[in-house]
Amino acid sequence: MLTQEQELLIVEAIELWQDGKLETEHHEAFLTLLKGSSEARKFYLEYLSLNADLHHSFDGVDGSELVADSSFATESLRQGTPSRSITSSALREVEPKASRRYHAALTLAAAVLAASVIGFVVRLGQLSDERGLAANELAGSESIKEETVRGVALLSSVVDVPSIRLDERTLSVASTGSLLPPGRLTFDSGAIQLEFLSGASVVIEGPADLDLNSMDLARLRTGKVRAQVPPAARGFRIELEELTVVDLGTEFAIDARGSDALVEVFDGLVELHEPGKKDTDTSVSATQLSAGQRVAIRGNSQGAPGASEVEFVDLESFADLRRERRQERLSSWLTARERWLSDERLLAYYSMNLSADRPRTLPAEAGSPSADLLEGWSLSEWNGAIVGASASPGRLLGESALEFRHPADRVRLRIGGRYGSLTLAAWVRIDSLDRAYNSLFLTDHYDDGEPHWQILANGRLYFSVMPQLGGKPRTGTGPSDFKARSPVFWNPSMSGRWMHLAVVFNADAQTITHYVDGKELSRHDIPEVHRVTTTSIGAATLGNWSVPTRPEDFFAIRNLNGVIDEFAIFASALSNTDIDQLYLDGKPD
Amino acid sequence: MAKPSDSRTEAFVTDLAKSQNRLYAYIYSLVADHSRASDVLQETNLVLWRKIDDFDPQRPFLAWATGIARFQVMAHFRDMGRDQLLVDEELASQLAEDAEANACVALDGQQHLKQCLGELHSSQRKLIEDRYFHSHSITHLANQQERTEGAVRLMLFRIRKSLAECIRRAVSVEGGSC
Repeated sequence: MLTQEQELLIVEAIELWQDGKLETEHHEAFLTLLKGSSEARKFYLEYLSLNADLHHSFDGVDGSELVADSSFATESLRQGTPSRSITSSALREVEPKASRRYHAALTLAAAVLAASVIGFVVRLGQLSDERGLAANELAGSESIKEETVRGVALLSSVVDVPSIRLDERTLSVASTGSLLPPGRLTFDSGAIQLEFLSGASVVIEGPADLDLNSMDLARLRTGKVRAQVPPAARGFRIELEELTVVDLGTEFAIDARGSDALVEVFDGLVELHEPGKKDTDTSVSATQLSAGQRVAIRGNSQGAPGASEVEFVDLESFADLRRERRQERLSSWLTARERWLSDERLLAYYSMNLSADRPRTLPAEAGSPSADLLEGWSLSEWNGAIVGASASPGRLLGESALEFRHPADRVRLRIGGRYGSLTLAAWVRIDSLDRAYNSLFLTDHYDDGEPHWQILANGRLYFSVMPQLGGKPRTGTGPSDFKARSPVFWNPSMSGRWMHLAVVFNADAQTITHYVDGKELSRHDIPEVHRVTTTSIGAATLGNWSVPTRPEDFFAIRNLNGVIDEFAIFASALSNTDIDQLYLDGKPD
Repeated sequence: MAKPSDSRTEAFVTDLAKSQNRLYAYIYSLVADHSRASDVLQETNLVLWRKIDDFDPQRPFLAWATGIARFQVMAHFRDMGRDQLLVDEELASQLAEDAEANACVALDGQQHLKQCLGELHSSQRKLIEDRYFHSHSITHLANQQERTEGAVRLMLFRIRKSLAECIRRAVSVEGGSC
């Protein structure tokens, strides 16, 4: 029998490894234990087998990559391939005693699998239209899985705040747009705007220390708060040490310093309740304050405030201040951009600012690429063609970006030349990861030396380059690609937040490095068998993938659901410092 | 590739479809990572399809498919750098043998899992779902739950233990099916 310590050693090794945090010493102990004990191996196998089953059991089938790779086929079959079905007969043989849900899972698995197998064959052109899959079989069997996200308020803007802490975490300064879960929020200076999900909009000046409790309750220890509470959010409460301020649809402000506080009402009506009285009912102990009134609280006594005025930043002046800061960010970026545009490593740069006379053309703006880098191509050859995607506000004031939402949305690019190392960088606002593979930048054919940069549904960055075959035709048995998957960097609470994503393929060191917001997320050594020395791009797609297939009306659905603002390709491996500088130069707040 | 007859293709696809979850579990138990397991499963499916001429509907499909999956897993191990793997090649072949010997137990477990999940407290179920379906990191879950990472690991360990016991009980009542 294994001891509990041994079981824990195995379990923790697995869990830490999956989170990318397993230390060498622990890893060695794990390997030694398993190699020497069949009991330990049995425990390990049972543990992972339960993991696999659990993974399936929450929505019936492993919904991510399996579905993804076959979505091409599924889609192709949906688009009118005759529906003489293999799977329908196959499915009739599926264990009849199985539960409905299990059966549904198998149905989907079978459908997906058949689609994948058939898709493969269709792609090879060996079987064309004699076998297929009825689209309605797929549609009818898909189970619905509801995502959940925990949050009470949106961090809608930040001005002059060096760093914000939520419980033990330091929020990235660029985390504007993040949905904040309940927790203790602190910052030293500057001001932030929170939009509670109830509808209350609040500007908080630092130094501030408050708990976000729910969408209509916050507990303020320190800080100056000015709240605008529209009728829909009536009942929004702020708890202070000695009383609760209940808003009855109005605008009010509080300056809290421990047990001392000043409450001022600008508009509408506010009630002050004794601690514990949290309801909006007008109990005896409630004091009402109306527009223009204010009260000072000292310990547990309330009285007239002193003569000294307290200035609160209201929403309008906060917005003005923020506009001012954004203006400064923009001009500082524009200056930095000139520097980047003249960087001779820059191969292609797209600002996503469209011109009114050619609204469907995405101009390539690399500054002065050297002639040998362009290999006879002129820069305008590298202009992109926008399909579907529409202009959307960018991360910086007044700048625009491109929004990708529908399966057809994409920017088509053709970038000639052969290169070694490559760096890809973009400002991206991910709204959701709907697809198993969510495209950032994918070459069409994924042939020799071509890169694919995407995000997996589970929030990992994914980059790979197809190794060269030295001119031999690809038969499916040649060297496969090395897939560099980062640890999870995204979850739905970050929906709508601007992020700087970058990946560096270093041809000399044979490494792939992922970056988020200027910081290295993970570095991967490319094994010798996957070695890639020469890269090329050719026809490629931003924000989607156009599958290399004939006829060309079939495609895997890999569109990004989000916005891309600026996309840069460098024909060089940028250093960690370079990437961080690129982030710092371009960050929105 | 010779074109196989329709009825044989149908039998092949049926068998392949029925064995997906078990092949996945087998591969996953060796590579310990969902996206890699999906990749290897895809590759295995393609190899199986290419070898459809070797397919004999009379022979046990899963044993044949598992052998090919094992080969694909080993190829995957050789392809990945050492630092990217939880188990090395030597341990992987030991595990592959153990896994093939225990295949029936794994199958039975899956059938009872849902019932056993249903017996968990909803918060326990949520934690299991967040970790093993949504693949949230322990750090993320610890932040969310306002607990230490060690505490979350221990909670998961205990919940899994009770799940495993529940499944073991159910399997022993109904007996194995392999």
